[in-house]
Amino acid sequence: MEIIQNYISVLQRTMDQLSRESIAAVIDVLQQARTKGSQIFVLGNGGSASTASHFACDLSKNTRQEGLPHFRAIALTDNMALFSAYANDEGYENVFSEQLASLIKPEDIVIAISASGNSKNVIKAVEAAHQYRATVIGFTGFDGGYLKPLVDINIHVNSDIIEHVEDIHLMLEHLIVKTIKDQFRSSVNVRTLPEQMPAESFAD
Amino acid sequence: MIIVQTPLRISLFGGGTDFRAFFMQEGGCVLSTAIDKYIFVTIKERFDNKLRIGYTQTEMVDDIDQIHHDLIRESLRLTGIDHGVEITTMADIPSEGSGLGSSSTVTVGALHAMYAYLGEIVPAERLAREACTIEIETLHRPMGIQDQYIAAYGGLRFFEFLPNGQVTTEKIRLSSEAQRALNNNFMLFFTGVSRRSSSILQEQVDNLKDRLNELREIKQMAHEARCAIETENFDSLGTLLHRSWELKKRLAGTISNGPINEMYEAARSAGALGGKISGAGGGGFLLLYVPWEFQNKVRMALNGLQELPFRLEEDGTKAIFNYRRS
Repeated sequence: MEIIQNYISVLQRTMDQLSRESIAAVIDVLQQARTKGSQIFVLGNGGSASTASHFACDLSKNTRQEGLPHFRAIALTDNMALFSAYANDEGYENVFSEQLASLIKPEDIVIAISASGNSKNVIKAVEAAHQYRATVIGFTGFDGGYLKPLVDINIHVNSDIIEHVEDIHLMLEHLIVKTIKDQFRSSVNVRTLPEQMPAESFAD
Repeated sequence: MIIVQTPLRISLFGGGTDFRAFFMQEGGCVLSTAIDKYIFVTIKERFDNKLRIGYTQTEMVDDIDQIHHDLIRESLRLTGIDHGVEITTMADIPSEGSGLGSSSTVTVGALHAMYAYLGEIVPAERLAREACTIEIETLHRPMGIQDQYIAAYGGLRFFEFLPNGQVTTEKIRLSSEAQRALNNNFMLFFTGVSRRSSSILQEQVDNLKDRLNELREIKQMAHEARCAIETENFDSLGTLLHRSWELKKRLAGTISNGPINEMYEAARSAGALGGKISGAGGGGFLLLYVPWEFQNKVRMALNGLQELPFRLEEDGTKAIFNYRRS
């Protein structure tokens, strides 16, 4: 029981330390990408690969709103044929950077998820992204590793416990999508004309 | 450099009930569709502080007030951009007087491009509302408010204009069969006459109080047409178009004229079930609903009129290119 309680309370304390400003900055950059029609690429390994796929899914589908452009999001963890082809032929460290080389354009967004911040293929992808003048968002844990100083905006989870870092990365994904979903909700379904335009002025 | 693509539209039913003088009294509604013909607005920052506006003419000025293109001028004023940009507009069809809603398409597209330039996220609803403000309030154009909304939202849509000033919209979801039928059975011909809509629309506004019964019936038909589309009863849609056009001609004497009536009758005799002049009337494009098997006969009957093949467009205004070299 104590171990269970401990997991929950430590997780809670770690969440309390998240930088609200960084989260807001990420949401802002993603909304900009939406209006520009920029592509959003999400990537990571292991649990982070799963979060990457989950993120691309939610960002594409759950944010759809009448009268606003759709997000163009894909995860680079989902095309196993291409992923394994690059891993097999070019080396595992190139699985993301090579996919980016085909698809990325300036002003696109790359979201790099790595608990340690030291995954070689993630670092290579971020370097490629910078070369193509894309904006890079990082989700990190532990001490942030090599990744943290390389990204434009980072959300850092201050914990050495891999489970907690991955929990919070997934939670962040949901928090971001939910916020985006709610941001324009009030203005979308019913539209009101400006009040200073009375009917009479057009009747005569 | 930003490029915004905004669709033109064909107004199908309910035109006239979107005038504020009418719907603020008893509510209005229209059925209208965006089409795959567009106006493109580009915007790019300049090295110097001047404003350059390119369309059929080119303007190079230092101050917003010197701009002759009134829609661009007022869009700039509303968004607060006052120096150092280059704006151009390009269209798939000659804009002036087409009846395809081009003035609102330009306004919505220009506002969208300018907000994108400022990095602001603006939903379709606000683009439409602000385009209405510019065209009706600022420039005093006599017109309804359907064009601004369809340009911003796209799709085949039903709009309701409520007496309290609210506008609601619903996208009509078409089965793939319905989509095919509509894309195949509508034909669009250029009458060869470009007209300015404002005098016709002004006449409509002046006549409004005496035409309440016609407008009520036009409104009713918009509901019926929506029903016909949703139940996939397409031939009755053609017949409805015919009835609605007969009624619409009574709103203002200039909506139709001798040559247009002749074209329309020729098309009807050749197999068109119904049709109308898109937009205010008086010229521009003639829309016809023609079952597939009669389409060649109609083309022959309208011998010499230029046809514009088109399809329904799903999307409203959108940025198709947005890249700033910083």
